[in-house]
Amino acid sequence: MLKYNELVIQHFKNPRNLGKIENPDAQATEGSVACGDMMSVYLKIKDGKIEDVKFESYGCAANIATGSMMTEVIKGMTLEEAEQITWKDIIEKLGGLPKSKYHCSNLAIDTLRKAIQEYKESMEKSKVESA
Amino acid sequence: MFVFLDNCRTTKLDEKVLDDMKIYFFEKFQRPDGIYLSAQEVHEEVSQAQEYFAKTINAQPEEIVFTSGATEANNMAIFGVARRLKEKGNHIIVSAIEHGSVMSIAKRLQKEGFEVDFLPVDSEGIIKLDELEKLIKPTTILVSVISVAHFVGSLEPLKEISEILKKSNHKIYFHTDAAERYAKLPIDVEDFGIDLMSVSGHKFHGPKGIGFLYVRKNTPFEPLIFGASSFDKRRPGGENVPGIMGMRKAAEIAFDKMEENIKKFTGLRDYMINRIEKEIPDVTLNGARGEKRTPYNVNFSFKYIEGEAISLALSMEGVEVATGSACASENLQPNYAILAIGGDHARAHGSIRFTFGFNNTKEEIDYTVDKLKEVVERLRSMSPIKSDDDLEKYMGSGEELHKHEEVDSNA
Ligand code: FES
Repeated sequence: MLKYNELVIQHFKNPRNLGKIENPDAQATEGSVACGDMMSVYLKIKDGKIEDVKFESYGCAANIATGSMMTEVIKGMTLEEAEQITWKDIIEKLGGLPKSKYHCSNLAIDTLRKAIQEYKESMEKSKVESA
Repeated sequence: MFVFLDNCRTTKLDEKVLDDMKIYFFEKFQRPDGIYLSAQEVHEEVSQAQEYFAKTINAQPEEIVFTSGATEANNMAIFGVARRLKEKGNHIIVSAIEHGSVMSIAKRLQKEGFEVDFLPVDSEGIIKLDELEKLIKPTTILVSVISVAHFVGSLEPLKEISEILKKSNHKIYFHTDAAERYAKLPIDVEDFGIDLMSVSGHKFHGPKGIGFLYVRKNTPFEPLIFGASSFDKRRPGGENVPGIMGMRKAAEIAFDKMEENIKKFTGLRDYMINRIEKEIPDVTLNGARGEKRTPYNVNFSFKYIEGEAISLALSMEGVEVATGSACASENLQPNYAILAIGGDHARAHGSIRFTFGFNNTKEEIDYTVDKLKEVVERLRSMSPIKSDDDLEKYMGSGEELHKHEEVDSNA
């Protein structure tokens, strides 16, 4: 078993923002090429701000902990701010992860960015349609 | 409650074993090769231990070589025979579900120019005897098959293997890594037709750092380690006398209770399998049922969740188990035993191995299953995968997901 610090264990034990949002404004599910894990991210967006966020994980403890920390960090941010967050920021916030677990935080960020991107694309589309 | 169910990795030392070992640290700390009387006494006792181990497997005392454990015994056996017989043939067969120790030796031999075939197993993890027959050729010098598949717990047909090898018109040596079988289930090297066998002390509540290799008389064999002569010139260096004597005590305790243990743990194993299958939905038993499974192993895959998370959550409840998930392995590869029995990445992903030591109780098993139910339910509620359809939709075959890609740590 890998060495996780106290904070990571805490987030694994009691993940924040866990679950689904019904009728989300944006949603993405991504898989990790490295180990075969999945993560889903759901966003509720209002006036360009992330009003609510939830996640689900088919992954290891590090993946669950990074999902928890990532959602906590981005809640209330504008989409632009949230897009700037990197997997390194999340690891830092968690006080570090074993190196072989870096890709788990990468998965969390990838899924988030995918959800934001899809939201933006759908906004573009509806703009075009309503024009 | 604290429940240790990773006894296939190691076991807790029996206190009676430690009491015996202490004598050889303080009172009789001499080495067996000294000339003084105390050394002669130690020599006598180590010889008696050698005799004892030989008797437990129906062998001769001089056929027992003490080693630092099963890994060294495996190295000694396979390199020992292969390098010595290189002129006669360079073909070696090992099963596809060997312990990592034999696997890495096999890979090393490939580098040295040996031809290595990996013998496939069936869906229960039992080697395919007909495939073995097909793989044998005039250059085959050695076959190595583990006694008990260490991950999925299947009992390998040792006797049937040696019977096939005997049919060949040239001698093929047969090695088995018996770390999971010795002192737990009967072994008769004569009846089973085994030429070399590895044993480890800490798998049956003995000390770590001690084991032995059984080498049948007249087996061509080259030592691995060279040094000043000592008790046994096949394995020079300072003898681990406390280890040898501790392993002897642990073996005595185990052999005394072997029948009782087999009965007790067969019952506990099936009780645990039944409870899990009845009380937790969407589970798959990995390995065989009944007679073809060791009494000391239960292995399940829990669908839609990941094994490292399961084992970490269980350990927070005091229950310690192993997993075959890629996430928990250093190289992010799914457990090869699960793939060898025809499982996919997802099945390895959610696999958990529970292995019993002689000290586990029914109360512990009940506690484990109770906690397991909670943990599995909780993790499932957290997973985006809720059904086989989801799995298929997101994972595809799992293959493409699994192409190993390094995360760029400078990103
Ligand atoms: S998600 Fe597989 S290692 Fe973290």
